[in-house]
Amino acid sequence: MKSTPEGLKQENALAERAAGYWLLGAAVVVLLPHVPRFPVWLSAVLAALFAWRFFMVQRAWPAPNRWWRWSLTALLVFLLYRQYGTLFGRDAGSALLAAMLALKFLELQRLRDYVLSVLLVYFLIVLGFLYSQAMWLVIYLVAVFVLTTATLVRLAVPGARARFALRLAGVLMLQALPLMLAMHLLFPRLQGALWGLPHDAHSGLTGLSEEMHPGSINELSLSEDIVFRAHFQGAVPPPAQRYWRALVLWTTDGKTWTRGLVATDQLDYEAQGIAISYTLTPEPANKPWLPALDLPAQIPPGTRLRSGLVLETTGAVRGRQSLEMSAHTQYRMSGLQENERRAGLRRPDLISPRVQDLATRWRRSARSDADVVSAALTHFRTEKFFYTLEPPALEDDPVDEFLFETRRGYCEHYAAAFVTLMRSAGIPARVVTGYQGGELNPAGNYLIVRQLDAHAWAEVWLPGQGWARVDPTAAIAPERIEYGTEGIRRLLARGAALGGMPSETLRDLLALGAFEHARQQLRLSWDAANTAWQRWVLSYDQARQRELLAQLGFEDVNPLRLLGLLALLIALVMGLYVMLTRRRVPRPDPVQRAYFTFCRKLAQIGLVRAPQEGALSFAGRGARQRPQLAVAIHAITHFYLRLRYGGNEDAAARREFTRQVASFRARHG
Amino acid sequence: MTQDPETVLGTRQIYILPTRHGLLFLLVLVTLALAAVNYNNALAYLLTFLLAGMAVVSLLHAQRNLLKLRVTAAGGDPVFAGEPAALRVCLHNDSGARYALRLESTPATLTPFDVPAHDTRCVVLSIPTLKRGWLECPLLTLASVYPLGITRAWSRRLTLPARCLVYPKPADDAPWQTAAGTEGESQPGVMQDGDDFTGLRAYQPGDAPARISWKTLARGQGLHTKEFRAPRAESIWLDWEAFAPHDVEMRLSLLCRAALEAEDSGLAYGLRLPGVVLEPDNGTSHRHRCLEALALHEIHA
Repeated sequence: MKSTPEGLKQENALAERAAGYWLLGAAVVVLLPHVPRFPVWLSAVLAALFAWRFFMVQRAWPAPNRWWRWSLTALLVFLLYRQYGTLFGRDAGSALLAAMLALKFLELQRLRDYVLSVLLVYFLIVLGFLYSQAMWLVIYLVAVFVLTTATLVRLAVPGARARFALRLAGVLMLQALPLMLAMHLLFPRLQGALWGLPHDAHSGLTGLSEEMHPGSINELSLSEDIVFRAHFQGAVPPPAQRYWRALVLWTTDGKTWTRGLVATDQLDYEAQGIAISYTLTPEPANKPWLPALDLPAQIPPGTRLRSGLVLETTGAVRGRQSLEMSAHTQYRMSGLQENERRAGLRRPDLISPRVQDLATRWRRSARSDADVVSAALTHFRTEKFFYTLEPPALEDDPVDEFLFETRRGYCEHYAAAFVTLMRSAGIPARVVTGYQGGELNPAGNYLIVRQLDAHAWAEVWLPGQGWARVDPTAAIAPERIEYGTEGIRRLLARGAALGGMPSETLRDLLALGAFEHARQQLRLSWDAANTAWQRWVLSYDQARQRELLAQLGFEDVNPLRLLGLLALLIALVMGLYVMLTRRRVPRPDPVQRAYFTFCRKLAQIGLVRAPQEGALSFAGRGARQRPQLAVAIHAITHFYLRLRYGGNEDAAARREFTRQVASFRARHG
Repeated sequence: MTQDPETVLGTRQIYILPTRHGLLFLLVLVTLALAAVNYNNALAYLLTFLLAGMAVVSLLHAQRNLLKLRVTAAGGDPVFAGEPAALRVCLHNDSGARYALRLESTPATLTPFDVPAHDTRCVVLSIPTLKRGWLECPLLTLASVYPLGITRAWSRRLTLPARCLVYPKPADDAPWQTAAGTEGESQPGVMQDGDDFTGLRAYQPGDAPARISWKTLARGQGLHTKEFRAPRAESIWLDWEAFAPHDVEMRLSLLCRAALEAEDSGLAYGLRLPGVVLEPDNGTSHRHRCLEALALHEIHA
């Protein structure tokens, strides 16, 4: 094992070559998810650089010299700056790191170059998470992470086999998991970014608009994007109660409905029954309104209540946050504020005489406001109104054309027409938009609400009852409420006539084929896993941290205490590991111990037994070098060998041996 | 010397610090943490924590990689000054496998090597010698960057009780015949060592250990000395005073050369040094005794 600097270099070179292929592999797989986001020219350049590296290793292609490398680096940095206008931030940063990694591959010479490249790969893994936190990506990137760590192992342990490196990387990762968990739970979380969040963090998101006009909700009816998930502590409310209010629209010009009143409001109503508690986890959105189950019972931190008892987040919904919410589905209100009365009675300037006549007729024959409401709903049910997701276009006066000519529409048509009629009849009314329904995932006892669940309904002020929800869509197409937009779509596709069908016929019509059913189950299970992941990992924030610690009995937390607690926990885990992985060295038996004592005594006079030296040859050497001790050395050595290898020696012989060693005097023997 | 023949690496002997690569790793961790905080990205947090956790766990692996290793060293055969001395350093592993161990001494660093479970691996340190006497094992450091290369665990200054005897450098040419006081014919009847084994006799104190019959001792038949006879012609004396005009080291070198040549020519030769007299004899062990006396002249063990 004698070695020279050349030998050292050669061995290192071999180790690095072996690790080099792995590094190349790790670099390629970590960049794959990034490639679709890179400009095409950059992907091409990266591929060319990696290919060059491959041939440098495989075919001994020449490495570019320093000037080439620097020129190439400068050129790439310049091009990236022109492409992105910056070199920092998520997009430009990942492109720059990818380019640096590929360039580094052209000068992999020293160990440091390899280690630097491995660290760059770690960086790119994290950058991948800034784009997507989907579970498949996590699984993929964890695999890349293991490969990268194994590369680091191969660089540190020359000659390490592939399996050894992968296993060690896996072991290190598994052992680090409890520490990761401790840090995840206890590392002090900050609220808000350190410096500005890039404007491109959430772009291209659609959602409920703040104004309603014919066709506005229909745009959403095809979108399966998830708006939010709601986990219920107890029973999930039945479909008829799943009204999620997001916006209250007061003002209309006869075509478009807008908010009008946006003043801050107070939760001022008389609740009946106990509140339903749930956790709302909205998907990132660039709109402030927060759909809440009718009616919200509390205002969660980070939100405020606007006029009409709708919630709005105070900041943009950044990242994923879960909100603890509660709702009362039974309630009664008293006292109509003057501005609400005025806004709720204001008729549009554009109102046709036919519409006004209809309202006036109902008003006259009714004894109360409630009678007017039921007259209107009866009208929708008995006249030839149809629910359709593909209504004919409405031109100048949508309400008039809808009520008297086309009579085909969906929620927003019915809601707008109904509120206009109520106001014409002198009953304060308003349009509420939000979502209705949601898909129940039995795997996790939660509702998934998608954009296609967007809905519009009406609220009218009835004396003694307050604002009461009236959903004209439910009158014309109860199936919309019971089975959701998806159900309606399937029923319409099979040519069913909505309203008044026996429920058995409905169930038959809605039954899914075996394949569709399996697909739905799979989709729901996947969503349940994804949602658990989102609740416990992705949306873990300062509030959740506080809540968890409070449950554990730590009420007053500050960052310093958290760090102290974290250090304690890490020390505990490490202590456990130390105990579990103690090196167990067998204790030598008494005869061997005595013989070692004898060797120690000889070592004191300079006779050191070489590690590989047998007892006999050591005795021979010792006797030669210290003739005056020869007899004693040989006597003890032969006694030792007889005890150790002779077998049937009793305890007395062993004691005698120990005694002889004890009385052996090397110094002046 | 009150030194254990073996050094067992305990927790107190093992130190761990980050390497330069480790500091780089730390820098990356901090940067990743900043990105995680700024983007409030849970997975970026998790991965940063995982990396940090792995760094912490790797400390334990680094320590365990050296823990309870037994280190022993042994001096090799004596060498003449100027020749490289060989010191054999062995690492005995009484438990699971150890990886990428590196022995560092001032002159050279050896390639990393592994020690399999319950096994021993030895490394021969080749150390240049300049002067006669005892060559002590240099201070050694056993180090390893296992498992990730971001930490370096090492056991500082292993003082191993191994040493190697360095004979004086033989002078190029020694007029040894002049140094030799010839004593004429050997007296008849005086027993001299030779190659012909003639039998066993009872052991007497002072008999050369090389002549003791260990086989009979092992058989439990008591101590016996083997007898050899050789018709030895003459014996000479190598005398310190004969090289009087030279300085001490030169005299030792000349005597060394003279002893080697006398040995080669099969003469019985004796050595007279101040305070040491070795009766004329011939043979490997006599040669060693003479050269050892020369090597350790005025050196206290």
